[in-house]
Amino acid sequence: MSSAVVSALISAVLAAALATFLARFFWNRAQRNHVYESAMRLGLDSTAENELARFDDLLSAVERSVRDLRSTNHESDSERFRLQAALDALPVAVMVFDSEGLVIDSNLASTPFLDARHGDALVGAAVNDLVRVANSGQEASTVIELFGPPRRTVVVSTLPLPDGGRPGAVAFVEDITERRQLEAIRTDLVANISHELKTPVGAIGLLAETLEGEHDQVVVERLASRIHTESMRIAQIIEDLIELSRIESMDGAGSGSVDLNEVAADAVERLRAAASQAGVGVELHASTSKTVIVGDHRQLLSAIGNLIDNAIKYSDPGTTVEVTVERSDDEALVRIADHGIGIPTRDIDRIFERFYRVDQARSRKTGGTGLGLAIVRHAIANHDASIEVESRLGEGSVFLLRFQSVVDDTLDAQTISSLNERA
Amino acid sequence: MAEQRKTFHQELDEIRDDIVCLGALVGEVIPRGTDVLLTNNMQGAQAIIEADDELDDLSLRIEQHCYHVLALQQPMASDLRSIVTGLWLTGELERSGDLMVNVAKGARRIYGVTLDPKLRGLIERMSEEASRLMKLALDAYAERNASLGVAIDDIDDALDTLHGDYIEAIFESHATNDIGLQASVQLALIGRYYERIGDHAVNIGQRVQYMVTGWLPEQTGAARLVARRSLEAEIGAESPVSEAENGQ
Amino acid sequence: MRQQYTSELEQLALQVELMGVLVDENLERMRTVLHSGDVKVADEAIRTDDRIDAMNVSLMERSYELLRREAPVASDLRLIVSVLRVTAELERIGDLALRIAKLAPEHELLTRGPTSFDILETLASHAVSQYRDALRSWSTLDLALAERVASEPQVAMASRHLVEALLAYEGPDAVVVALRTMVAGQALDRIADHSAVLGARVRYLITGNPDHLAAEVR
Repeated sequence: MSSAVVSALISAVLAAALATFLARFFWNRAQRNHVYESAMRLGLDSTAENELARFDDLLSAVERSVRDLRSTNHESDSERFRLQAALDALPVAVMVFDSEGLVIDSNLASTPFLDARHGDALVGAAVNDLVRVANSGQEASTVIELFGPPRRTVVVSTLPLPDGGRPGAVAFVEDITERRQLEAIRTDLVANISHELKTPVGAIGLLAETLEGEHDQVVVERLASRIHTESMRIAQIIEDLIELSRIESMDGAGSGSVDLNEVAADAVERLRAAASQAGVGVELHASTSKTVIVGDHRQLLSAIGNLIDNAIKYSDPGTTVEVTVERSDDEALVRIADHGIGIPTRDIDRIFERFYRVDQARSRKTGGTGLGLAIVRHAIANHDASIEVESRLGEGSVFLLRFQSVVDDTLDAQTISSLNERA
Repeated sequence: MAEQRKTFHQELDEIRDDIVCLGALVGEVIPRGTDVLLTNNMQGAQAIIEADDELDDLSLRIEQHCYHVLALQQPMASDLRSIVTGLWLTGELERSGDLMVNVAKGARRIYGVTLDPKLRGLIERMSEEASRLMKLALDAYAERNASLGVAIDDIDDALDTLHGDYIEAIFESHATNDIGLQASVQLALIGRYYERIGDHAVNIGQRVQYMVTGWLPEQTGAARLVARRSLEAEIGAESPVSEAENGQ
Repeated sequence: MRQQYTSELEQLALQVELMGVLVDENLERMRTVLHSGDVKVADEAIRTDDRIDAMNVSLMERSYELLRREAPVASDLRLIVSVLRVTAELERIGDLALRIAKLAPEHELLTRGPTSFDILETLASHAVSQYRDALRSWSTLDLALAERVASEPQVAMASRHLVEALLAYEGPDAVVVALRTMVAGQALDRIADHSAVLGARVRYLITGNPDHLAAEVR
């Protein structure tokens, strides 16, 4: 076979693979948009939105390539090159197999599954199995849950390719972890909202009903006090919801300058009483140099306050919560560390979702609204800052906030010290 | 087209790929089993016990394949080592898988027992450590990296330390009546399963070292023996030497 | 040539048995150390383990030599590969026996819990007798015996009793005692376990039945 013929054949196979894939993909995109819209309605964060937007860009690029392809000469090498580039741009692994089950072509996203190891090796094995099915003329598809770490959900599907003198199969591997997560967030959110709001409202209704026919003064008092507690709880949730949407609606953090030492001291002061009631100590280690960033005082107070509040709630009596403010040349850090019960690894990624609970029973006892960390995340995002969590069950958690927008009012002192170092 | 006879190296590659796959199955079942244990997931426990058949099946296929290749070909020394290493590794991996089945069974036995965060944290960490060791061992094998293979023995110390902390935590929980006697016993046994997975990873590492270099850890002991013998010969000490050891 | 090959195979099988006897001697030393904490016996065990290692190395080299030179088939191949796998098990059993012998300096710790110490000794004699059966099945190629050893139920029950006894033991040193005892208990468990695998390997050597290939497939 001449190389031109081979190249034409491969192009044909790739084009068929791409067409098959796109047909599925548009359906997927429709699904995706559906999830995306639902997520937006529920007020999910902007990261998911960005991911999806980036995805759409990619898809448009591929569509353009395919359109261009149709209007060009079908046998040129540059066309094959372009087709390969288009396939490489896909976030989905596409592999073309011959009738013996050997890979004859693949795109960039397939690299991890060829000569793979660990979880990817299992995906690779599934591809081989399904290719065998496809080579016998059947479509096949399977979902693989990998525990990793990280945990991933992957869909493998294969199709027989039309027999154009050279039969074979095409396999797709798509990582749907993110889509699954969005779906989980959505369903959990609905369930959680109803749980958080309906429970106290239902309780109040029930308590009030009981109160109506009750004459025993002791019981009346107890019921009334319960009603009071539950209504406080709702009030707190509403307050937090308002705070959350206020922070959410603010685009950015303004241009004020805020001293993190002051904010931390302020937050610690406000929670002093709650801490001593819980038998938990709070220590503040302010940074020695002035640590001023561009931001919004109220949002930061809310964020740091919520983190300290949580640290106290999940600490064992007799332990200490440490709040540390530090600054380096180009960033400012606030670290809130506790020696409490810690967060299970599997939950760490999800604790910033609104109303997400690691342990329903414990949360109700500690009286949180389930919105604190959502507030923290939005406030921190508004400051273009980042938040890192490290936690061990039974040992405690560390929340680390990193701010880049340090105001260089200590420039003089620093310049001098760095000059001294160099000298 | 009639099935072509595979080349010897294709066969070796297939064995290698299958072992990597077997290793991946073990690597997966470790976090999966731990999740089952920590979330009281009875269905998951059953699934793990059933999925072990797949693991057994693959390891059987690999062993048969190794025998097949040994019988058909006349491999060179280094290839021979690869094949025999394959036989050894299937044993180690298959037994590691069985240990996670034991964890799943243990999870069923302590169903409904609430574990305090410290114990849960230690279980999480032992599991992470065991699966890290297993992954490193598999990396060493796939990359034919002898020094990584040997290093696993040192890395395993972390798991042993964790295991000690874990036993201590069980005693604490038991002393404060947080967990009963039966649950404590089950938990202690479960901890040992993780530790043993670490041991299997160490063994795999040593096998890989042998596969690549032809050097066995036992050679240290053998060398010591030779040194002692020559010393004893010098000072004329009596030393019973069995015929067995002269063989070579 | 052929005749030499056949006698080499016989030699190989015999050498494995001799290695097995050395391991057996060390298991006996392990029991003595476990019983009395005799440091001198522990030292002997350590020296003997070097001899076991040396035999392992030499057996392996010989097996490889035969595989390479003779390209054996069928039952010969099965024998040589079995030698490689069986010596690996013997070597591990030797290591485990040594692990216990090395507890000699801390022997007194093991005896503090009378009940748990008693269970340890029971575990030890169980493991040793399990091993002896396995070794005997190798030298006599006794299929029934090999099968019995291979399917011997794991000693999980005894180790459960061991942990129970340790939890019941009260004292400021409870955790240290428990940790040391469990090291010993686990090693004994595994000696029994490896012996069962030994039995399974012998079973495959005799039958050549692929279903008997993977030792753990019971």
